[in-house]
Amino acid sequence: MSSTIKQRRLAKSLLQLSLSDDGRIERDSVKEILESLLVSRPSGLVTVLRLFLHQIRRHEYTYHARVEYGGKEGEKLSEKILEKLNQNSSKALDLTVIDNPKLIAGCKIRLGDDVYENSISDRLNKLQKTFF
Amino acid sequence: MSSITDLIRKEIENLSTDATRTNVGTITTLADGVAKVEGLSKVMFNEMVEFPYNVLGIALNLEEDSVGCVLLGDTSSLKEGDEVRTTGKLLSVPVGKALLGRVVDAVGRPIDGKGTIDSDLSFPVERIAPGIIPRKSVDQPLQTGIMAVDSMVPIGRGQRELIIGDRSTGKTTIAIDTIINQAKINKQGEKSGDPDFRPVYCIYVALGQKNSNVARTIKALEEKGAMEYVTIVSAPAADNPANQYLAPYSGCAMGEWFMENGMDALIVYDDLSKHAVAYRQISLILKRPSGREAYPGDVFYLHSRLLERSARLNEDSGNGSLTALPIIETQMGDVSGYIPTNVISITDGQIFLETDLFNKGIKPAVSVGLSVSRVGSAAQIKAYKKVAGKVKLELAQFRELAAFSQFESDLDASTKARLDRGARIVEMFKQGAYNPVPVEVQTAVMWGMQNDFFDSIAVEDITRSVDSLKEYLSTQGKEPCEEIYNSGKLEESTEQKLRSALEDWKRTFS
Ligand SMILES: Nc1ncnc2c1ncn2[C@@H]1O[C@H](COP(=O)(O)OP(=O)(O)OP(=O)(O)O)[C@@H](O)[C@H]1O
Ligand SMILES: [Mg+2]
Repeated sequence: MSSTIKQRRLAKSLLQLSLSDDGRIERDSVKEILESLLVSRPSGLVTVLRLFLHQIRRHEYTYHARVEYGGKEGEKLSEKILEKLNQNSSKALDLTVIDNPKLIAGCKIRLGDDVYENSISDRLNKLQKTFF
Repeated sequence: MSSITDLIRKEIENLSTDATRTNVGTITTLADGVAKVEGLSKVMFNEMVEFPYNVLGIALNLEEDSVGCVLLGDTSSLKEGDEVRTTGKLLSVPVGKALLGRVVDAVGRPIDGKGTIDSDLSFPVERIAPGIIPRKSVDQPLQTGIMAVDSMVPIGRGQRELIIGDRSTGKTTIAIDTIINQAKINKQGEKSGDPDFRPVYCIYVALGQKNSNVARTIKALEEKGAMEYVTIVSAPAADNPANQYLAPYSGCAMGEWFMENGMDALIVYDDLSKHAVAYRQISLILKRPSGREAYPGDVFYLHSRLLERSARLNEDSGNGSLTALPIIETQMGDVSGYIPTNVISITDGQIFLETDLFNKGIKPAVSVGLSVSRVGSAAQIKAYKKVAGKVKLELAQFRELAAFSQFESDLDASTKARLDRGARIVEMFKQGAYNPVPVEVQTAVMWGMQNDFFDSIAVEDITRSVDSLKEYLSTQGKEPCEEIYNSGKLEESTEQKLRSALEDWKRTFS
């Protein structure tokens, strides 16, 4: 489904309105916005809602870190990295921490759509690629 | 056995132990060789992206909420939700002399079963064409070995000459003849040991063709011993459109390596009509707005940025060159179509092949009126220019007069002479496929025509007599031709020798 520039702009400004001071999505503001949208019914409401949802998801993504670690060393390493990330990031981060034995040892952190990885499995993959 | 463990050890030692940072996304839709990916917020335009199962893709559409990637390779195992990652690299292909004699696919992987390609050099597929400063005007000939082309539409090194015509009018044959002739000249030059000799390496991009046609071309090149100077880039009709879209750029990168290292190369794009169609297909699937004939708006840029990469560099930039022979197929002889006019306006001239001539048995079916070379005559050797200067005009006049004289019964003497000469030139230009003629022999034959040696021979015997003369000039009557070959000029003394050689030949020819 295609959208117009106007609709995309609207969705973006709605996102700005739903952010709290620390840059996180605020549930109450979102609720308010949705209610007022339902009353005012701008043209292409469905598209605007879809775009708005997309914007919210994407924004939420940027302060959600998913940390996977393997082995004892990996656990320690991931803790250190998280500390650093929290210091550097303007927003407080949401965390999901998972023990992933597939990494063998090391850790893998995903923040937004950036992935930082230093693990045995990643190195093995790289090695495999140099041969094929 | 130990060498393998050594190799593995070496690779392990070289392996970086740094943390890697990649940008990832997930496939949201997947259809017709195109994937829409969510995420990948840091991807670059034209960057290679990595899909699971070793499938590569190129990011072609960077939109606000998604990235459109064309996929190269087998997409059957991919599914929605799969992770995609950036590589930080633009698509590049191997280049260098190791590619000569090989057949590769659109990304430079060998497909001829002759093992891996031993080249550690690579060039990005998309590159910016040389600017104005490093360029120089065309001044060295690139002989096709086809008399009708070399005399009327001469081609110079670094030129872009379009070969255009309907289906099955001998377009590919002209290009292959040219490649075979380069191989012949290369071998002759290398044998002579001349340090100034500059071989021409060839790249043939077979695009959207049947595999059987490509095989036929390879066989012809092998039979003529030309393969050792040729790289074939093949993206056959059954290949996915992304590969067909890429193949010309890959081939061009391989040619550019020769140019930038001070060598001469020739590249044939067979054919760019199919390239435009492949690009249209990709664009429509990527939902780009379509324009005339449903081609996207940037279809002109598609070909201009490709053909601009062919150039003649000046001495300061290494003196190399890349000559391009793009091929375009027309529908019912219509050169005013969208893609034909685009490419005509980019190139430095065109060789137009006419179906009517081809069907009349005039092969190669070069149309005199519509074929032109805008820069090549500066590159013709002196001797050839001297004998070929008038031939295009003579032939054009003949075509006009012939149309007229159909209604006239008695013609004046000068008109009749022109008609006779024209008919003989037409016969002289007939030439079989894969049979290029060296330029010095061409010069001698043309000289014979200009000096009335063929006037006493009946028109229907001309082709036979020209063949016999070519034969004679490369065996018994070699001397004047060798002089032309060595000096490039037609001196008074050479002309004398030529006259006596032709007189000798004419006595033996009955
Ligand atoms: N000079 C020639 N003398 C004799 N036969 C020729 C000559 N040129 C071409 N042919 C023949 O004509 C046929 C078509 O030639 P070719 O494949 O080069 O045409 P094309 O224009 O490239 O065709 P397509 O549109 O299929 O690509 C071939 O069988 C070829 O052998
Ligand atoms: Mg062809």
